[in-house]
Amino acid sequence: MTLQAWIDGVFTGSIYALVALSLAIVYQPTRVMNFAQGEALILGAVVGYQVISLGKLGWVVAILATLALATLMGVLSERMIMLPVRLSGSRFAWIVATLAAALIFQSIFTLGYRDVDALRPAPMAEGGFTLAGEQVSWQIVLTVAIALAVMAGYDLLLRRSTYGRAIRAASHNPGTAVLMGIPVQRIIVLSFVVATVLSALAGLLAAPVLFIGPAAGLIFTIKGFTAAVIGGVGSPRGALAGGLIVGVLDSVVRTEINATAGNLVVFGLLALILLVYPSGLFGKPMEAH
Amino acid sequence: MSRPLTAASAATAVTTAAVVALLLAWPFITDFYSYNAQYYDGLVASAAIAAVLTISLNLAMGYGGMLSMAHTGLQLLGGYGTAFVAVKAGLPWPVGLGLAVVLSAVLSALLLLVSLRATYLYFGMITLAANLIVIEIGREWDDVTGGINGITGIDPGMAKRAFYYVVVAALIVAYLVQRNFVRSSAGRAAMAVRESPESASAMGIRPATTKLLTFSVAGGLAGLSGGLYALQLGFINPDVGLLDNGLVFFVGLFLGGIGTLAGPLLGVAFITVIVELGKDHARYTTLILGVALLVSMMVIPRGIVGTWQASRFGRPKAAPDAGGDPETSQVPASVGSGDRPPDRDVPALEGRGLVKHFGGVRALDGVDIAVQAGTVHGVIGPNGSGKSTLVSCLTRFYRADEGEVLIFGEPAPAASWAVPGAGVTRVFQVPHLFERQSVLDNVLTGIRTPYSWVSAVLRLPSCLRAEREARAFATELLAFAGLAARASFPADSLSHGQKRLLEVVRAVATRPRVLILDEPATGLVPGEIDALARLCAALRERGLAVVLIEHNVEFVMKVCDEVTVIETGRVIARGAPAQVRADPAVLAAYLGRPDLVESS
Amino acid sequence: MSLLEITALSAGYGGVQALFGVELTVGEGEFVALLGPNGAGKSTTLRVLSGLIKPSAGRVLLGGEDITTKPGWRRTGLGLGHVPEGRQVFPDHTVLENLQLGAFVHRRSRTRRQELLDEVLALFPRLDERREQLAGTLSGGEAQMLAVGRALMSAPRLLVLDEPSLGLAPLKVAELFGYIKRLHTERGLSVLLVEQQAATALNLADRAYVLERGRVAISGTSDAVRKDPRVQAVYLGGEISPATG
Repeated sequence: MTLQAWIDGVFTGSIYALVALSLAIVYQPTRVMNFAQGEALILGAVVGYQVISLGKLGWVVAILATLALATLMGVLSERMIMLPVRLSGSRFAWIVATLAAALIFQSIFTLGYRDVDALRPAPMAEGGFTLAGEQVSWQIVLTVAIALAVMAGYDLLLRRSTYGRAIRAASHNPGTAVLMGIPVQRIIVLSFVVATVLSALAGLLAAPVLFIGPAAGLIFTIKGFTAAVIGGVGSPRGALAGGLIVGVLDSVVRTEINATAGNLVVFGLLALILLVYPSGLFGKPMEAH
Repeated sequence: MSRPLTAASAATAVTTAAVVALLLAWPFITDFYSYNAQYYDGLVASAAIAAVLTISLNLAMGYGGMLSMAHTGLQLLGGYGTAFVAVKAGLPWPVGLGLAVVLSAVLSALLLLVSLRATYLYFGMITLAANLIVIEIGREWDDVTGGINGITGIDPGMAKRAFYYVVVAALIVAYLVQRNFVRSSAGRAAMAVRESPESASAMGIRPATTKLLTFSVAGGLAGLSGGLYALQLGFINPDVGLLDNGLVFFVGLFLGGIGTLAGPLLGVAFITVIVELGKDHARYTTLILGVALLVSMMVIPRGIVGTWQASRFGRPKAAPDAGGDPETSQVPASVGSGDRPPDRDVPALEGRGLVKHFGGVRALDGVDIAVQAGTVHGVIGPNGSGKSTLVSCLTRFYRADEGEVLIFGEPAPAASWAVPGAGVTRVFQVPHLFERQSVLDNVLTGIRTPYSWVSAVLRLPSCLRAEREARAFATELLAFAGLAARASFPADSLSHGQKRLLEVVRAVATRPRVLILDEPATGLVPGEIDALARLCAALRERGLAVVLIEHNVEFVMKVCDEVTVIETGRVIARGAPAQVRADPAVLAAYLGRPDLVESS
Repeated sequence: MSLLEITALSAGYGGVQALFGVELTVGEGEFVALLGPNGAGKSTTLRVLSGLIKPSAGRVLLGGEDITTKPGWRRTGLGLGHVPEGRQVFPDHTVLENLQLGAFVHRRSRTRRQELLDEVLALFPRLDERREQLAGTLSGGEAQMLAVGRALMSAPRLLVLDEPSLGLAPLKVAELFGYIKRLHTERGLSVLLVEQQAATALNLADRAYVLERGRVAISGTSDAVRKDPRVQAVYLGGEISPATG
């Protein structure tokens, strides 16, 4: 019984880790914590539901559609969030703009899928195997594997490539990065696009297993944010560790006690970590605005 | 308050009276014109309750500068408090409202206390976590909160119309609390801390205490709103606390104008009208609100009220432009060390062996400096030589790695905010004015007043008297600086030179015995430099010690009694201006050392 | 044709005008100093040059090409190498990573990057010794060398230095300027040096401009500027009034 909880936890944990990574990708060059990030995950779930469950078009079409729509959503998000942030000059602009963007996307999804409780397409990988008497579906294995691959790949990109160095430089000091010939504005747009695509893929992968309603975006943002803070915003390894901690903790407490207790423990942990380790467990501190 | 009655303030008074009259007459109007009066009364009551919460958010975020994502949670908490008292404990509902205020204020205070070290962003995130926790506890604690279903059957035990007046009264109270708080020294302190904790500390304001007070008052108002919500709707459940519901308050605040008194009211009224007009298409409401918020952030970043105030209609009408000539040549009598005659033997301010490292760089490398009362002491040196670091060490903004600081022979307090209390006030190199506050308010921020925030909110006579005295003192100081004609203008309307003068005046308002000015002459035109020199001389006459960190050597030579020259963190010369000017080391520091660079 | 040509440049921020019709040129292979006291407009001129602020009037030409409206990051590729005020090395990157960031415009050519890296490390052996060290742990003089090296990594046609002597001890300043002098004489690199230490800068430069309140007050060959009595006045106090000139 506990093993099942752990398996579920690792699965949701990798989803949270992907959202946490997406949050970090946008946060690094912009210093904006994007509260609309979870909506990208819903986009993935919506596409999966529309293409696979309703359209019966299969996974290839779903993945292509997710990539295309997520790219569009990423570009759109950058405009919707960064333009007001730049023009407003208020120190609260980022939170208000991202919340507004989140609510706009959320209401679009709920308008489109008003009567749908869970956007739940058939899994990409059918079936599964038995591990110590517990059923593990291939979808879970696939999702965890993809999440791990994405984390490792991004970690490598950030540390080893010219672009990775440029992104880190832009996040430290955009003014000087521009002097080095680094197109900071393009990096920002690209960050939104990459983050949105990653979250949307997470949604597409998670939708067959989790119950994802069209209005669930904000909760995924908050869980992903919790994971990011626990891991230390900015490092892919931290995002992974944070995601797994949140996922497993939530899942185990949920099974042992109930759903509310699971949330309570996770949010309590968030508060505790914010208070005790202002740098996260594995990372650098989030700088003030 | 002895403010001149202008057309603008008359218009404000008339508008206020009209709004209050409309709110009071509303049930009669709806009775007369509509078959559905109760619906429209409820609509306005709900809007008024939302306005109370938005006012609370405005206090925390607009005036206090603290990102709060706990406001729906605080409202929920207030609702639970009231519901528990009214339904489960069977006590009268006003007791419930009282409990709501207390509960939410206490939670706010706790939140702030545990997160004092947190940066601005982290503080917001802690409030978010707190919000989520309040909701989850509400869902779980069946005995008290009724679990997921919440508490129903909350009844104020009076007619809806009578309760309407309770809500309107609460709104008026909330507005008055906001207004009186903001216009008191507590409110000015909050705004100072919002703009810059450093410059607030430099005026003797303790950031932690100020934030605690502001956030707790805001929390209390949020609790009040929650209690009214429960009573008005008859139920409370955990969903009330969801962040999704909080958006409408953000929209109201930003649309109306964050950091303005009337902004929350106007914003909420605006939203209520939009939502009511579009109620046949209610499912598009969130979409429309979200888009409206984004567009308004771009088009009117300061909100309706802020934009109005910045427009030429809302600005104070053009006053005769003061040319910078002082209307009086007298420094106000209360400036200076009246209580303690300057003691020539003990330096007013002394630093001994100050050392400060930044990474591998020794910014200060054993600096000794002693400033006598009743003198102007210049500190000069090339850029990056450590002058500003010295000031920050002397005023405890930086903790010196070695060495000690003495004020009139006694060790300086350890915290920067306590240093002005010991008599040493600094002015920063970069202007740290409160740009959107009036010139007068900027000066008032520097003046310590003896009244508490409670008496300010209640406008007790003692408070009004103290406030009058403070205003008179501030006006005198402004007159001396030649800024009196601009007293009611926002500070950002001043020229660069006037801003620098205003900063000095604001520092003088803290009644210092040692005044440290960091590069005050930068960017000033000759006339303004003269005014500054005159001010320095006048303050010296009053027995103050003035420390002048300057780059403009000529200015230093003219006004200083003694000069200390610093280069790469060391004192390379000190003495009378003429003596220092002839020193070859000083010439080399300023013009460079051609002998060290091979010539082309 | 000059390498850099600034004509009738006016600019400001926050409604305060800081530059009033500044004219400045740097010829191919020339070493030009831009002098003036604090707040004279030196930094604003450089900000316009690097594209951080847009001028309200005037043009900036680099190698004959109008770059006035070009975004800042494109100008590096066109041949502007910046050594920003206060060094601004990336503290959490290693020395080597900082240098490689400087070569961002050459990111497509690994061989070109390696070539430039070898050159710069040969020029600053001290940086080679510390290549794996985090830039944030360097001393002031070393960080300034890194900032210069990083700018050289883009193989600039014009090296722009913003107050490199800031906060450095005189001997370190001399060492640094020695390097810059060598770059100019041995490689023929064009240099625009913004400095507070007028005498030092005038010793290095071919020509100089002195800014005062957003206008070019004095300009000419270094010798002429050095002899101008107003230079002393600008630095050790006093106003330049047309009458004294």
